[in-house]
Amino acid sequence: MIERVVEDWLHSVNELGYEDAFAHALLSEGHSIIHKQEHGSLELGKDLITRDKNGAYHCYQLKGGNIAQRKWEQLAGQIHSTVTSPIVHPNVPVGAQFIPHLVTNGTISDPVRLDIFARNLVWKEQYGRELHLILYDQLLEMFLRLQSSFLPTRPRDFQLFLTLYLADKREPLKGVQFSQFLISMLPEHEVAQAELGRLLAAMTIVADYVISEYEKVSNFFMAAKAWSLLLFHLLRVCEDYSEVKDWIPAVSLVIESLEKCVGKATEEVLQSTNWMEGNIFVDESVWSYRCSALVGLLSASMISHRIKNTPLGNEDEVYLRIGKHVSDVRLWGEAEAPSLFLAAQCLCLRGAEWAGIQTALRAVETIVEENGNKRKVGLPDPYYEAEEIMRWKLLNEDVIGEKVSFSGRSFTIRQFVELIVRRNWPNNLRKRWYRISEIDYVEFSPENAKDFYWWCRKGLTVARRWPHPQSWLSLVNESLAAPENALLIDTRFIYLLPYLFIFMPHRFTPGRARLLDVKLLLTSES
Amino acid sequence: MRHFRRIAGAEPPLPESEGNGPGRIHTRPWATRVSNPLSATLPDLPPILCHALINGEHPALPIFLVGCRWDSAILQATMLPDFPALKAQLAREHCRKIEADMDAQMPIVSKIRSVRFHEGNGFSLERHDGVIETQEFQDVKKPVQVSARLEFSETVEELKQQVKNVASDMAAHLETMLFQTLERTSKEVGNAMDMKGQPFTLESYLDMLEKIDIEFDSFGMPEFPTQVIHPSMGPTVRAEFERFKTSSVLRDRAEFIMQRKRKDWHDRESRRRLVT
Repeated sequence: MIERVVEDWLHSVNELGYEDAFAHALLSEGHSIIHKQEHGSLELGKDLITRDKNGAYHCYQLKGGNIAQRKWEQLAGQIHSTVTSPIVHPNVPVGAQFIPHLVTNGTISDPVRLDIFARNLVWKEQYGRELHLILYDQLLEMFLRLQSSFLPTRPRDFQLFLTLYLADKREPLKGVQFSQFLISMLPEHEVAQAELGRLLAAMTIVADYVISEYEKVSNFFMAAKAWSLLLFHLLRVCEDYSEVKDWIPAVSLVIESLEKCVGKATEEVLQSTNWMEGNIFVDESVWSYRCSALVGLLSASMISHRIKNTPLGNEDEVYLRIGKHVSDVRLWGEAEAPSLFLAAQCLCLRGAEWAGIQTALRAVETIVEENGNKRKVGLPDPYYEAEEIMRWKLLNEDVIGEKVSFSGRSFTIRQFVELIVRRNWPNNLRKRWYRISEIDYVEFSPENAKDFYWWCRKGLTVARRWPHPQSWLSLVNESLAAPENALLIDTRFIYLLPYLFIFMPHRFTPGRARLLDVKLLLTSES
Repeated sequence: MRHFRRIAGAEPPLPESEGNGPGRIHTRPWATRVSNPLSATLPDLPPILCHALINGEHPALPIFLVGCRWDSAILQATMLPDFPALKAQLAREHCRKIEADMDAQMPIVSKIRSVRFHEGNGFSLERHDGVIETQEFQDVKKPVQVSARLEFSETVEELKQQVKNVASDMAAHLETMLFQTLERTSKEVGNAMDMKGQPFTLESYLDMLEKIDIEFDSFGMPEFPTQVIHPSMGPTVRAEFERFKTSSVLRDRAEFIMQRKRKDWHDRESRRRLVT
């Protein structure tokens, strides 16, 4: 059954669609990725350069669909370059011999095969190498062989996979389902060190069946969300393995894919003047929700690159759009709090600290206003996604339950308070403290700190009260405290935290927000 | 013998719209808690189960209803046509009616708003007295058992009756749990008062007021906590309160207590500040 799905997928994607999966398949076969061509940049006839476990270099030119005579005539020049031009890369010795490959998820016609055979004779004689072909059947076999031991086996998991695969890709990705699906691929027994690479590649390839469908319809926001979720699940798996070299290549490739999608989504956001989409007659009702998500995405991208010390090339443009729309971001639920938090950070980062503090204060005031009044339902907690809130507010559907209330508590108020504290604006907080102190701050603490999946079976929802009175000094100390149980994402991959916050808002905890903000402050100072 | 089996779809979490998918619920799918969920034959038809989950916290009350969800063990005669999706919608309506019935029988619990815990197996909260309380969720289940040998109309009647009984039992159980928790926490805090069999008097009521915190609104008017009195005590309590009209000593004492409570409240509220 899964073969049919993979066949269907492989038939339907272009070379960009299967590129990530192919790279992961090579990784699992012992190759190390030396270079992955960014499409649209300088094309040297080599989409992928790898070195296999025997030390031999390989170059791959990826194409999509069947290659008949006419298409071959168009490609022949590029393929000639693939075979004949040397690898130009600092990590590859000058003049190193390599094996060139033409990869396609289709077939080639007989005349083309004969032509390649003839050219190979010449290339062999002149350059000492000949073009190898990897066609549809070999690709299919490669993917199926790799994932065979990690595929969802229970009918329920497989049904989930099909649901995700066949879902309308213009719709939002259901994070909870995607996370369940990724978890379903994890074996119950502990994975041996030697198997880790295969597990990571298999999870990525199977997830890519779903993700590439989002990319195909240019829904890059949701594709980025899917890559992020995959990445966080992979990091959870890697948490138990100390040998970084066993997992870093796979994780790095996924990060690259995530950043590629974020980049494309950002481009789209910048190109759109009014941020409207789809049926514009009813877009007014959902626009503010989209606006919050997009400001969050732009801010996350900017912060992430700043922490990596590789500022965005178009940061000015991104910042202008954040500044233009930050006042339109409505805190419709605590799931949107990370967007405001990151936007406030961006403003502070670019010198508009007062505007950043005002943004954070606006969030605090909204939380206090909505959750401080016992008669109100309050702001939905971060577990409720935008669509659910819209169904509740716009269509009057019973989403949160009749008697459910969010008053008196908040999952995100502490993060905003600490952001203001770290920037030393005590007077603004002091004026509002009476009402802030009405709201208990809450966070979910999983039994095993490593389990920051979408949903944890074991753990405590912890609610705490502000001390009466609250000392500014202790608040400052707490807002700068180092976290306990730091994980990979809190240390090596701290620049991914903005994506964790916007795509898994219920994991936007005070500890992680603190970590990100302190790192950002240190980065900007240096 | 006709064989019944559980529909496979009954085991995984119900659709999200029913508030029962991971990330949407405060507990695991109930099927994991059923002892014999997979198969049964007519004579030993498994009980149709319903359950509610109690737990929670509130700034004012230490425990309250978190959620109440009714699940039916979905049974399917192997050869009979059924309409599961339609019935799922009907079941939701049915559950609302049952919950409304329960609310009518829970004068206190029904007035308390609930908090939904989306994940994990417990919660930890800080009480007003500063004590950290950590608890795991508790399941509350009541079985409904109907013989499969009954005719259709008899089965329907029997089910209605049993569900009604279960709703009453559950309501009573939830209220009892609330009072047990209140009793436990009030003892811990030290504001429990044992009358040691003595009759209710206005003096004892004022003694009780001395022990509790009272909130005031912005106009300085007291916001008394909900007071629960057994109906049989009604005439006695009313008669005792009549004494206010005649005894200036009691009135003065009550006024003195309220002034002190107002001052305490002012002190408490003034501590809610940021000290720089």
